[in-house]
Parts: sequence; C-alpha cells; structure tokens
Amino acid sequence: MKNKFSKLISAILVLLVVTLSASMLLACNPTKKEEERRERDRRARLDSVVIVENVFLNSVNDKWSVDLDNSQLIELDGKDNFDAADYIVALGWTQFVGDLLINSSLQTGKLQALAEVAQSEDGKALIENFSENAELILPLFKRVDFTPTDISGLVYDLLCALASESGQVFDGIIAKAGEISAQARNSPATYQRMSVVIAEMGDAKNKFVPTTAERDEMLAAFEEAKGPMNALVEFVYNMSVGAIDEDLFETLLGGDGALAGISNSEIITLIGTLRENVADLKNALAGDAVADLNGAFDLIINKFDGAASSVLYAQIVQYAKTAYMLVDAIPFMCDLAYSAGEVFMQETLLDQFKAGVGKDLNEYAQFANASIITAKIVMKVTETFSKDDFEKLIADLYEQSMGDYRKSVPLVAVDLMLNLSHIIGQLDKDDLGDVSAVHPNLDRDTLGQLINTLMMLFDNSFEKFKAAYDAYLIDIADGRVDDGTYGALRSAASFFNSFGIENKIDINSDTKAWAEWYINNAPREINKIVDANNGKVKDDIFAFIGDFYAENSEVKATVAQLANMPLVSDSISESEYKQYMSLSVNGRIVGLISLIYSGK
Amino acid sequence: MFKLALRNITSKPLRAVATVLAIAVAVAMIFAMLSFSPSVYEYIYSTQTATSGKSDIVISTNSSSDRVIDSLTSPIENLKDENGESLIEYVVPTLSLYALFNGEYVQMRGFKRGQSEILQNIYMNRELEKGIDENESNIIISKAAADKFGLDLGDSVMLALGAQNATFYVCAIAENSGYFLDDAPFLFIGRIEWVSRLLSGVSTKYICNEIYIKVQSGADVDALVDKISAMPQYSQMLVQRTGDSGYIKEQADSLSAPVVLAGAAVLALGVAVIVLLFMMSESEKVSLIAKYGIVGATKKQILGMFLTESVLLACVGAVLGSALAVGVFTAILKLTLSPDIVFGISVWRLFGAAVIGFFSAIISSVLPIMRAFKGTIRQNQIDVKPQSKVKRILCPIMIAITAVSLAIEFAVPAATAVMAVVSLVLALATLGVCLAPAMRLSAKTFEKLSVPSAKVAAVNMQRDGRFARSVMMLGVGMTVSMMLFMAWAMTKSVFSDYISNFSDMIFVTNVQATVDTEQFTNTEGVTYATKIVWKQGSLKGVGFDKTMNILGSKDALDLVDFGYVTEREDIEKLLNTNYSNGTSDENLPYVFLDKALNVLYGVNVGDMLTLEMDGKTAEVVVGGMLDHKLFSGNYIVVSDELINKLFAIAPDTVVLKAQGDMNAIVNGLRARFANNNYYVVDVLTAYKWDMQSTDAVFDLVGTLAVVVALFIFSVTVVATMVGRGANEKSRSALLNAGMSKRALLCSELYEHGLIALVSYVLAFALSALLTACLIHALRLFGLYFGFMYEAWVVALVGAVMTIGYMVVPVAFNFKRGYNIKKR
Repeated sequence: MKNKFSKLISAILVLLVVTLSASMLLACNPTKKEEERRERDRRARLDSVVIVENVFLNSVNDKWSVDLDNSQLIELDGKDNFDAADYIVALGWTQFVGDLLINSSLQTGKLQALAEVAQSEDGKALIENFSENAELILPLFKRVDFTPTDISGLVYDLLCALASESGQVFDGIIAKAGEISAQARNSPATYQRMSVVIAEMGDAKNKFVPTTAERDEMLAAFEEAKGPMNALVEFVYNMSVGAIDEDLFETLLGGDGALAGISNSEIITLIGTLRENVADLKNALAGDAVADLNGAFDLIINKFDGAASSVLYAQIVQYAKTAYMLVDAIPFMCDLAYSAGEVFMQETLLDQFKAGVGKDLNEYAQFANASIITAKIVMKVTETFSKDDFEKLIADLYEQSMGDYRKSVPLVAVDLMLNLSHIIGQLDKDDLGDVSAVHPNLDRDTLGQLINTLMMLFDNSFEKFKAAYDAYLIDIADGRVDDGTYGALRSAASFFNSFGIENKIDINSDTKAWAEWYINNAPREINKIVDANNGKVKDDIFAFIGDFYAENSEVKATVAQLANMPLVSDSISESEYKQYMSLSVNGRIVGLISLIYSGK
Repeated sequence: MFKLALRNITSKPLRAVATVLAIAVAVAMIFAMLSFSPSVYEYIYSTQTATSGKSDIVISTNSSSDRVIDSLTSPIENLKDENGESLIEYVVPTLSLYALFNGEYVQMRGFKRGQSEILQNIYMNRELEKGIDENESNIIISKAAADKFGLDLGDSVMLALGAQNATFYVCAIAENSGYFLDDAPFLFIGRIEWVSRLLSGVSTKYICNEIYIKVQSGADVDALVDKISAMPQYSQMLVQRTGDSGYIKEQADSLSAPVVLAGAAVLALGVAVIVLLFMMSESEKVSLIAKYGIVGATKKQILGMFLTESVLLACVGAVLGSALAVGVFTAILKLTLSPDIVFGISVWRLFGAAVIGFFSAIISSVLPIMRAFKGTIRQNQIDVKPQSKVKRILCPIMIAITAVSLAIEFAVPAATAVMAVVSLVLALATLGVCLAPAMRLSAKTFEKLSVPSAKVAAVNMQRDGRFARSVMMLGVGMTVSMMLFMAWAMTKSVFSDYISNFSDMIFVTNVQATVDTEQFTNTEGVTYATKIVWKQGSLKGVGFDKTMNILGSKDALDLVDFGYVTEREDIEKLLNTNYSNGTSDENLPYVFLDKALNVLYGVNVGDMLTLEMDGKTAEVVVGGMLDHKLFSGNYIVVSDELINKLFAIAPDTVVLKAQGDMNAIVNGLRARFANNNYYVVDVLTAYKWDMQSTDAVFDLVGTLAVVVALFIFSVTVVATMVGRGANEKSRSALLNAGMSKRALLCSELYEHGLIALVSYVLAFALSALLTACLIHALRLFGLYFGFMYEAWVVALVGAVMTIGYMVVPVAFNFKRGYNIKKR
C-alpha cells in the first residue's frame, strides 16, 4: 500500500512538472512571437525608408543611392554631372528625414505604402519636382493616405529634430567629406570639392545649428505651441484633402457609395460637419495660442532663414513665414469661413448645384457661378458681422502690421482684393489709371507699392537676394566671379528699387558692403514705407466698409443682385459672361472670387 | 465529545469522504440549478447589449430618415431637470458602416477620440503602443477577425465602400468580448474621422449615424426618449431605449424555462440525496447508539456527539460544495456560453445552496438518532423496526393523487399549466414512493430462480432497507436526468428548427424605403423580392405583454410556410386591405397571430390588442390565426401599409427568395450593389449570431444535463457504497457459511442489476408523462408547444445509467474486499 502510494505521489509530481513545463513553454511562445513580429516590423520600416531615400536621391541624380561607398564616390565624382559634394550633403539631409520617419509614430504599413508610392512613376515625378515645388508633397501624402495627425506629428517631430539634431547632420556631412578627402589624395578635384564642403558645412553649422540655450528655447516654444500648431497643420492638410468645393459636390451627387442618392438635408449635415472643423481651429487658436505660434514661428525664421544648404530648411522657413504673416488673422478668418459655409447649406442652392452636376460648363459659366457664390458668401458674411466687427478686425491687423512689414500681408491682401476689381477694370489700359477716383485714400504709386509688398513677401524676394549674395561669396571663394554673378546680384536687388530704397554704396566699388547694406538696412526701410502705406490701406478699407454698410449702398445692391441670381447650369456666351463680370467689378468682389477659387 | 465524533469520522474514512463528497456534489447541483436562469440572462444581456453597452438610449437612422446626422451632441448634453441638474451622464456618437474587405463584409464602427471604451471595456489581447486615440487610421479588431483574415498587429486593412476607400491599420487585437460579442459581420473599431472617409472621401469627426446616451441614475428614461424624439434634429430619427431588459428577460426565460422546471426536480433530488445518504448508514448508527446506551451515555451526550459529527461533515461538505459549485459551474458557463463574458457569481445563491446542503445533512443525521431514541436498546442492537402502516398504503395513495392531478391537467385547459407543475412533483414523488415496493416485488419474483446467488440477492433486497434507498435514489435520479436531457432536446428543437425555413432567403438591409425591388429580381438566382418591415414590437392584451417579431409585408404569407388555423384565403383578403385612407370600421387594423397566443392567453379572432412599435402605440384587431414554430410563436404578420399608417415606419428590409447556390447569389448581389452600402446577407448567416447564442445555451443545457446526470449517478454509487460499508458483517457471514467469493460477487451483481432495471423500467415508463407535464408547465413561461418526445434520448440516458450501475460491483472490484476472517 505504501509502495503504491509513493508511486502515486511520484506520478502526480511528474505530471505536475510536465504540466508546468508545458505551461511555461506555452507562456513563452507569445513573447517570442511578439519579438519576431517586432523584428519584422523594424526591418520593414528600415527597408521602406531606404526605398524612399533612394527614390529621392535618384530623382536628383540617377546615379545617386544611399549605399555608395567612398571609393565609388571618388570614382564617380566629376563624371556625368555627378558631384560627390552635393551627394553627401543631400545624403545627410535625406537620412536625417529618413531617420525621422523610422522613429516616427507612423504605422509601418504607411511607410511601406509611402515606399510603394515613391517607387511608382507618379511618385517619382512628384519627388523629382519636390525641390522646385514643395506643394507637390501633398498629393504624395494623399496617395499614401496620411492622416492629418500623421502630418502634424511629422511636422512637429521635424521641427524638434531640426532644433536638437541638425548639428549631427552637419557633423556627419563634415566627417564623410573628411573621409573622402583622406581617400581622394589622387583626385584633386574631389579633394577640392570636399574641402569646400567641409568649410561650407562648418560655416552653416555655426550659423544655423542652435546652441544649447537656443535649442532649449526652441523646444520649449514648440512644446508651448504644439497644440495650436498641430491644429493648424491638421486643418490645412484636412482642407487640402477635403474642402467644400465642387469636387466634393460631384462626389456626393455622383450617385455612388453609402450616400448614394444623397438628399439635400444629408448634404447640409455633411457640410455642417466640415464647417465644424473651422470652428475647431478657431477654438484651438484661442487664448495665448496665437502668441505661442508667433513665438515658435519667429524662432524658426530667425534661426533657420537663409540656410541655403538644405531645401528642407528653406521649405520649413517658407511655411513658417507664411504662417507667421497670417496667423494673427486666422481666428477671424475662421469666423468668416464658418459664416460663409452656411451659404452651402441652403436647399435652393443645392438644387441649383445638382442641376449643373456632370455638365461640362465653359469658363464663362464657371465664372458666372463663382461670382454668384462669392456674392452669396459676401452677403452672408456681411449679414453675420457688423460694420464694427470688420472695422475692429482691420484696426487690429493694422496695429499688428506696424513695425513688421511681414505682418502687413493680411491688411494689404484685403485691400488689394478689394482693389482688384479696379485693376481688372484697367486691364486694357497701360497703367493702373486713376485709382483715387475709386479709392480716394490711395494713389497709383501706393497701389503699386502694395503690389510690390505682396510680391516681395510671396516671391521671397529678400531671401532670393540673400541667396544670390551667398552664391556671390562662394564664387569669390572659388575665384570664379564674372559678369553673370553681378548680374544675378543686381537682378535680385531690383525689388528694392521698386520700393524706392536708395543704396549709396556702388556695387562695383564694394560689392560686399553694397549687399550687406541692403541686408542690414532694407528691412528697416521697407518697414518705414509699409508702415506709411498701411495707414492709407486702413483708411481705404474703412472707406469700403463704410460704403458697403451705408444705407442704399450701390456696391451692396450690386452684390445682392448677383447673389440673388441662380447658378447657371449650362454654358453661357461671352456677352452673358460680361454681365456677370460687370456686376462683379462694380460689386468689387473680383478679388474675392479669385481668392475663393484660387485653388481651382 | 468532539474527540469521539472525530474518532467516529476517522474510523470510517471511506464513509466520511463519501458523505462529504455527496454533500458537496448536492450543494453544487443546487447552486447550478439556482444560477442557471440568471446566467442565461447575463449571457443574453451581454450579447444583446454588445453594441449599446452601458447606454440607456440610442438615436439611430431609419429607412425614411437621413442616413447621417451631425455628432454635435450639446443639445442632448444640456438636457436638465426642473432643478437645473443634468439628466445626461454621457453621449457617445458613432458612425457604423458596412464596407468590403477582401470581398467580405465587415462592420466599421467609428468613435470620437477617447470615447471608444465609454460604452464597453475593450480587453486587449495584443496591442501596439499607439492606439486608436493616437491615430485616426488605427483600428481594433477581434481575435476571431484576426484569425479569419490572417491579420496581425500593424497590418493594413483597405476598406472599400462604393467608390470610396480608406486604409486602416490594426493597432490592437481584442478579446472576443464587449463590442466584439456581436462580431457578425466582423467588427472593426476605429475613429469617426477616418471611417467618415468611406462616406464621401472627406474626413470629418462631426458625423455619425448612431448616438448612444447614458442618463443620470434616477432619470426617467422613457420621458427622455420622448424629449429627444421631440427635438427637431432627431424628430425623423429612431429614438429608443437600448438593451430592452424586458425583451431580454423574455428571451432568457424562454430559453431557460425547460431547465428551470427540470432544475426544480434536481434541487429536490439534491436534498433527497443528502437525506438518503445519511439514511444509508442508519442501521449502523442505531446499533452504535445502542452500544453507547449500554455504556451509560445519556441521550443528550449521544445527540451532541452525532450532531458534532454531522456538523463537521456538513460544514466540510458545504464549503467543498461551494468551491466545487463556483469552479465547475463557472467552467461550464465559460465552456458552453462564452469564454469572454465575466459571469457574476451570486454570493446569496451560493450561500443558499450551501445552507440547504448543510441543514439537509444536519436534519438527516438526526433521523436515525430519533429512531434509536424511540426503540429499546435491544431493538436497536438487532436493528429491528416495526413496519409502518402508512408506508404500505402510501404507494396506492400517491398513485391515486397523481392520477387525479393528471386528469385535471389534461381535462381543464385553464388549469393545465399550474396542474402540470403539481403533476410533475407528484409523479416524481410517486415514483420515489413506488420504487421500493416495485423492487421488493421484483425481488420476490427473483427469489424463485434456482440460482443460489440470485436467491441470496433477492432475500437481501427484501430484508435490507438500504436497497430501498438505493433504488429510490437511482430511479428518481435517472428520471430527473432523463428530464434534463429531454429539456435539452426540446429546447434545441423549439428554438432552432424554424430557422431552416429561411434557408432560401436573403436579407438586404440598410435600404431606403423608396428602394426599387425590381433591381434585385433582375439578379441571377433571385426569384422573388419584397419590401418588409422586419423588426420587433410589443403586443399587449389581457394578461400578457410580449415582445413580438413583426413581419410587416402583404407578401409575408409567401415567405414562410405557415400552417393555417384561419383559412389562408380569409387571411390574405384581410392582409390586402387598402389602408391608403387610414383605418376605419370597414378597414380595421388587422394583424395575424400564432395560435400559441390563443392557447396561452385565450386570444381569439376579432379581439382587440395594443401594438407598440418605436415608442408609438396603436389598437389592432386579430384578423386570423396561423400555426408555426417561427420565433416560438412570437410573431405578428401584418401589412406594411398598415404599419406605415399606424407607426410611420416604412419598410427597412428587402427579403429575397433565391434558388441555387446561396453563396454565389449573395456574392453576386454584393458585387452588384457594393456601391450602395446595402447589407446583403443570407438569412441563415444573419441569424448566425442568434443561432450561435441559442446554441451556446443549448450547449449549456446539454452540459448541465450530462454533469447533473454524472453527479446523480456518482452520488447514487457513493451512497450505495456507504450503505454497503455497513453490511460487511453479513457478507463475511455468507462467506463463513461457505459461499464462494465468486457467488457473492454474482449475488451483488444481481442486486445492482435488479435495482438498475427496476429504476430504468419505471423511469422510462414515466418519462413520457413527465415530458407532457414539462411541456404543459412551460406555458407558465409564456411558451406553447405541441407534445414532443424524443424516446431515443430518454432510452439512451436510462440505458447508460442502468449499465453503469449494474457494473459497479465489477468496476469497484467488490471481490477484493471479501474477507472471511472479518467478524
């Protein structure tokens, strides 16, 4: 019995051990599987990003790829437009962005999709043109199905990385150039190019890489502005993906999908929900948000402006500048847009839209419809906001613009928009005609300067001048200054003349002093001119507002007449078109029409 | 005294262990039966409220309303009572769309950021660091969906809906619980922002097609439903209570009714088992009491000692039984219903089961003592007890009473349901009373056999009271087991048979009321299409208020193969009444009901009843009676035009009939109408979830039947062993008298065989009657069915138990315990 008992106990013990071992094995298995999945994921992220990097490098030069070693670079340098110096700079920044993508919160599937799109013919074309037109990145993002959160996350990560890790990129490029130099003793040209890279990157590093204190200040500012910045980026991306436009109506009325045979009330619901995105943005920009954004943009512009060594810097700075110019006005613009959105929530308009869907309208008809909708928007907005509201906005914009010409953009743009009708009316003539007849507060020269101001800001004239001066300095260092160099400098400085800024230094006697005079003094001079103009601009806009809100206002009556017209559902003749144009010009909404339809 | 009691227990370890185990098993059985119905309710509640979770009210779209609404819920959130206190706890808008993934339907449900776990908890099996709140294109899928589509964390999922498509990424794989209890079609949970892209290609977080509302506790939900319905933005929408607990209770009660009835018998049997078990060692105890009496122990001391012993055994048994009950019952629930639902264990029911077990044991242990105190020491020493006169006439009396009860049950329809329960109890009691005399009678016949061991067995069985208790326990246990299995077969037959009627039918839902049915009949394989209002409503009449399935179509008679109590022509004529000008004395609002309502509640043609749909009520007139098992008789056939007139509800479903390969036809329809967001599904698949739910309950019933039968059988065997343990002396005497071990074993085999056969014959004979009583008793639960009896089920269960009990002497190797030296 005892024997049997001990056998039983032994059997139970063995069973226990086996069960425990099996349980442990089973328990360990998921962990191992999870590790394997993570490894697969890591590998997939890396592979995808390498593909994107290669496509990007390849778009600049078909011999460029991420895996060229130093000896290959020395061998290829100088042949068939292969510039090893350009390559290592491009590689440094490409890998900087690549690392950012790898470490981002983007799902691996999205990186794979990005790689797929980048490899496609369309994708390659988009990437090839990226350096000329950064806007092309949006179609690329859309094709990958990036979400607004993805984009805002990437933008934020990129800004933080530029503030905290850009020094490593310069160091990496310098180290790589050093390695190549060491191996290129028998290739003087390559050696020379590498020496230039090392010098340039050293300078750029000193100039653009934030110090520890600057970095901390920038990171703190970014953190502070993170919420509103994300909201702004997400809104812009979201609107670029799906705005209330004809495409949306065509999709909705196309008779397909979950909302096939969509009713007017369903369209109104949908538009109403899109309108709420605008309200969201306004809420996100409440309180100190605009000041936080201004602070962050200001730091970016001040630190990175002129970093010619990287397209990335240039684009970031460009976006920051645009945002900096407009950010103060955004909350009110949100209010306006929210109010304007209501126009599309009227059943009669929707019925008229439906009547025109699927028809290939000619340009005249398209303009007629654009003018009618714009007129409706103007009427709606002026019903919603009082004369005082507008005057307060203009006064605020005027206040903000004083002392910083960059901030004058909203004010100038509003005035130009109102004046565009007059300019259109003068198109057949050689000049702007008698502006003061329509705009007593403006003269022809002021109007010209307003146009110059906007062109200077949107054309980056000042940045282009600085870039031309940087090129001149490089040419000097390379000993290859010629007439072309001076010609480029003079051309870049021509916009100063249109402002009437006089530089007493002669370009030929002391080019550096001449250029640096502009760099150091032109902003102050432009500020003086713009400040002086802004007063006139403000008065001009006030006059328009007063006129529009006046009893028996002719302008308002004209706009109302246009707003009450039905949309056209068939193509129209030129003579009919002229009627619409005439009403638009007299209603002074041509500028608005072009603003609203600028994306088309 | 405590030491003496302890010594008594340890001196017979087998008996002590067996007693404890029997009490434990009985407690577990009682608990399982007490908890069955609440568990089924919990299960059905969890599955029915998988989508709506903890919310109280849902606003949703319907076939005649807009398909989307904005999710700006502040008007609802701002609802306040007269004191200015908020009536709303939270509001959760969601956007649910059917989209195609790899050619298969999935349900994509979008929440606002941070709201996905407000209605239900999501238990993650595996997840990535960033969830759906971190990125709008992330989704959570169930383990079942991951297995089905071969998806893993991080995988991309491209969904298409018409011309729109959007890519999502799996960020988590969740357990099949919560929302995922309703995972047919497979549910993907994401964010409204990205789901909305499937609507128009535009991302917006302010759109939805369902709004779930949780009201503050104490607020009047119905009043709030009315208030919200009156809001202009929701006036066209469907505003209703979520998780209709009344309907869920009806459903749970229907499913659990047969087992609840059989469970009452199990409960009684549990108590009886404990009593009989203690009675098994009655002779031994009486004899022991006599010995204590001889040595001078007082009655108080004897009572104290035996009570201490019983309390110890009962305590251990009750505690062990409680543990066993929780463990076994929870395991069975998880195994059969759902491993993903956390079933609540009621402490009160557990306590109740333990108390019943404990006190049954204590009271049972006192019975032999009382008997011993009545007799003299001599009588107790030789264990002679005078035969009770009552016992001799008890059997015929019980048979007579039962017969009377049955006669009333069958003859008086109004009393059928109540008398069925009485008859059920009486029949079981009569069986219990008659089993022992029947066994003695059989033994007497057996005695005439010339085989010595059979003779010995026959004599023993007539003399020894323990055999009477064994046959009683086995016979009643066998009958109860048969009833449980019968209940299982009956439930399965009643609740799933009618689904087969739908094998050639296809549902097209998510359609607008204006949909043209011709577009469907133009599809290959589709022979018939009709618009129908297929939803639930509540029917009220005298003595009843039932949730009914509405078949709102003039063509409803063509859809299901009904039996006709009222002539079909008459029903058709009334069903096609023209209601375009509303109802009038000439155009009465006719509905057509199952005859079950006539049997259960006396509803007749021409009666006026109240029908409630979507919160509106209307008087309707019974136009005719049908006969079908459909929805257990809980259906109403009515004209869609009438529904529209009375309740402003337009058809929301197109029912198609098809011939040929259903899969191919369904896929063809999906491909053809993929752009319209129609949800096309064959009816069997549409009811798959309901079938799975009811199947799970059937599995639970079946498993419980098996487990209870095993418990009953085990306890009977244990009780037999305990009783047999007290008779070791007589076996030794037989061996001493020259009986061989083999002959003694044969004798014991004869004993077991006879007990088993008598039990089987009587149980089998009674089973048909008990089944009839069970079916009649179900009317108490609002269920009416014709008589159904699966003889093979009953025969098989009885046969297995009979054979099992017959082979006990061999299986437990009784021969090894035969010892001639023992005296």
